[in-house]
Amino acid sequence: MTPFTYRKGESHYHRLDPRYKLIMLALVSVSVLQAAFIPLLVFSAALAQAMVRVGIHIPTALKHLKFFFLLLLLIFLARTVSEQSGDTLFKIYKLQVTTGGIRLGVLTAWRFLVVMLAGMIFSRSTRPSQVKSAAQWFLKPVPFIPEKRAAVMIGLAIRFLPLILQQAEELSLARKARGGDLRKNPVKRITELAVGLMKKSFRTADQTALAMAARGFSEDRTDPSFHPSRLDAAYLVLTGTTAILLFVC
Amino acid sequence: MVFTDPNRLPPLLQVEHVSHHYPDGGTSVSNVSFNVCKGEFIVLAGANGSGKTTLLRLLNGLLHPSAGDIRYRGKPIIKNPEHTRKHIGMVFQDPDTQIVGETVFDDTAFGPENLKLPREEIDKTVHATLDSLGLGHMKDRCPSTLSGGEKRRLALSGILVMHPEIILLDEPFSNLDYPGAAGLLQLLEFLNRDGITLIAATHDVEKIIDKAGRMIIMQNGTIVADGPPSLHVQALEQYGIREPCASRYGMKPADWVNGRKRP
Ligand SMILES: Nc1ncnc2c1ncn2[C@@H]1O[C@H](COP(=O)(O)OP(=O)(O)O)[C@@H](O)[C@H]1O
Ligand SMILES: [Mg+2]
Repeated sequence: MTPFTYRKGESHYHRLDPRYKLIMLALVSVSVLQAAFIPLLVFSAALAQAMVRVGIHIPTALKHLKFFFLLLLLIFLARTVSEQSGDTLFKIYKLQVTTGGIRLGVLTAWRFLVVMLAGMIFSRSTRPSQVKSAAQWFLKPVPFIPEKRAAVMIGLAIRFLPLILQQAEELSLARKARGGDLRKNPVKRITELAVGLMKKSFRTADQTALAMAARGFSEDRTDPSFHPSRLDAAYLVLTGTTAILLFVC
Repeated sequence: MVFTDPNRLPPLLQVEHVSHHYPDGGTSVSNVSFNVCKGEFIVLAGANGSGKTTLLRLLNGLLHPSAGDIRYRGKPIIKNPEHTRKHIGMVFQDPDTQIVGETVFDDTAFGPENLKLPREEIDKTVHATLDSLGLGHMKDRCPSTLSGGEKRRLALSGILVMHPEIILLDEPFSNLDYPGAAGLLQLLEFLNRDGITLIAATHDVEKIIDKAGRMIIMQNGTIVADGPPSLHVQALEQYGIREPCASRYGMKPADWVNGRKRP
């Protein structure tokens, strides 16, 4: 269970139409990546509020993002040394660290963090099958993409990912039990695991294809249904306005 | 030897001289004939490799016979695979490979979605089916978090939602603990009383023999015995199947759920 996995809840975010939520997420992401310091600060406060509303425990969520923070640190460093404005703080070799650089580094890392957290709110409050349905709906007008087939594939991926992870763990434990971790060559270790996992996955895929046929699989199937309400319209307007404000302020 | 009770209704399923071989293997089913009547509960017994799985897959049209004919209500099943699969459901040996939905609800809805039923009707029938199997409270759960017994029940629910007339079960008790197996057995009994015809393939006859009205024994792809279980139970070991304990000691096969030792 990560803070990104869906959990049932009664918040507004849980009740919104997944298509509207996807649009809102896109609006927020694009505008946040342009936002300046003060508007970003205000927006972050609102976002923290939203996180609490959907039932995310913020300290736990931040702990789960520890690898992401490493990435943010890299972004921060890269941005910091690439900007040369304001007072020079110190110099390492030819790299000059300036106040303007630090400001930009912090801002950039922060923007990425906010986008990540917005995504967390989305995935925490949206059933995987709803994500799939929304994707199918958005793919419908795209030519040459059979949206129903795509939706079935997304659904199977969501269903079988945990299963494959379980199998990987089992295989790796079984190898350990036989002294597999005494083997030093990590490449060999990983290839062996991958080969075992592929064999298993192909067998599963084979069986699943048969089982789907047995259950009368047809691509001409019932479409997902959506029930947008006034709540969706209200949130969309609110998010749209916020996005514009983030953009221009 | 073909066992048919003349007092029953005309056969639901007619299997006539059916043979099958896999492209790369030898013969897996050879010259098999039998009839299945409405409401029967049949155990298909046989050692590993005797052809049970292959026979079940032939019965719902997933495999085609190399020779012979299978008819459902008088019509050849390969002529109308969609019709067949709606009316003849199949529970695979490993429920993990059969469950395709992201949640319990979505998985059960998979079949009705294939039939292109309207969304409201799907919601109604899926809820009713889940409730009848006691899965209603876990409809939003992710299938990979279910227990073995719950997974098997979910696999069944995905089939029951289509209101089949016949259900084929491949090794229904494998990987189930005692409560899981006992629960499944009670469910099967209930379904059978409700009029659903059941054919269960297993090498572990002990659990089910008391519930079934008929036993077909397979060996090397052929049917070597077909009739009431009590008639053939003593012959089981000669075909590589373990004889139930009770019958070894000359007793009637015990009720596996209720016949346990009392303190
Ligand atoms: N996909 C396959 N390809 C080739 N041979 C197979 C395949 N599946 C099963 N067989 C062979 O067919 C025979 C019957 O197998 P099966 O129907 O699985 O038996 P059972 O279910 O009773 O254990 C066995 O000899 C087996 O080796
Ligand atoms: Mg088998």
